[in-house]
Amino acid sequence: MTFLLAAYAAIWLLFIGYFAVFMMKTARLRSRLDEAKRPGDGR
Amino acid sequence: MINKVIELIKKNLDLAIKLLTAAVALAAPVSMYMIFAYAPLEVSMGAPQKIFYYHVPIAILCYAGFFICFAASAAYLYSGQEDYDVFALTGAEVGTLFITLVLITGMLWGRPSWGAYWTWDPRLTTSLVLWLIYAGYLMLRSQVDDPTMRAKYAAVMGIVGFVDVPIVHFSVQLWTRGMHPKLDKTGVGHGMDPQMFTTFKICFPSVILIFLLLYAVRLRHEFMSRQVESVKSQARG
Repeated sequence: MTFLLAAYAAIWLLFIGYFAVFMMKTARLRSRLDEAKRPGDGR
Repeated sequence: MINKVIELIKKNLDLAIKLLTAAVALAAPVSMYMIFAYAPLEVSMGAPQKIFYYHVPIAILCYAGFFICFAASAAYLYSGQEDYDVFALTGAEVGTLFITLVLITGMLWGRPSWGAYWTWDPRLTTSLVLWLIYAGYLMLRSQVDDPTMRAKYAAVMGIVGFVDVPIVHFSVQLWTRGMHPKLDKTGVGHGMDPQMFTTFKICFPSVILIFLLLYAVRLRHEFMSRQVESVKSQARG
């Protein structure tokens, strides 16, 4: 049972981790993109 | 035609991610219930055999990721269109995540079944080589600064690296001395118990949905990151 639980824990950790990391990175990129597109902002 | 499809994908990524997230949120608990509560215990291997329900679909979908990388790399070399490079990178990265999970779950299944986490069985060895090829692909991308050269080198590696995929798949037939079981193609459900086969039929689409969700999330990030780069370079003049 330990090996079974360890396998599914590894699967879900990697899936959820990958999903969460790229959702956060995308949110950060989106705010940078909005900032860059704002008129009159010279940055 | 293909450019219209790419534009359609780009425009609808946000909606697709929302729908896929909802679908995964429904399908994943059902598949876990089927594995832990519905599927019977296999007589000789016991509980660790239940790793099979995700191990096999994940293995098949890592091929899908590498195939996307292969096809998009060929399309990039043919057309030089940057969008194909994005599809190739995303396919390789999600494929690498999946092959990593194949190796981890395979080792966790191998220890109680074969008595060892790792053996130099043909399927395991060729899978490790596949992991190394695509880890190398991702490393290569991180080492080249010029975007055009990076895309070209990566496309060549994405095409050449795909050669190992059929070798992994047919390794059980090519080298008969291995420990990996051959697929029993006789009868309904490949000789599986009906309850086991039902569980497998529910787990497979769940893993497909997870693959599509992770692919879409990564694809959206990469498209957006290139958009930010182009806005920055325009601002610099």
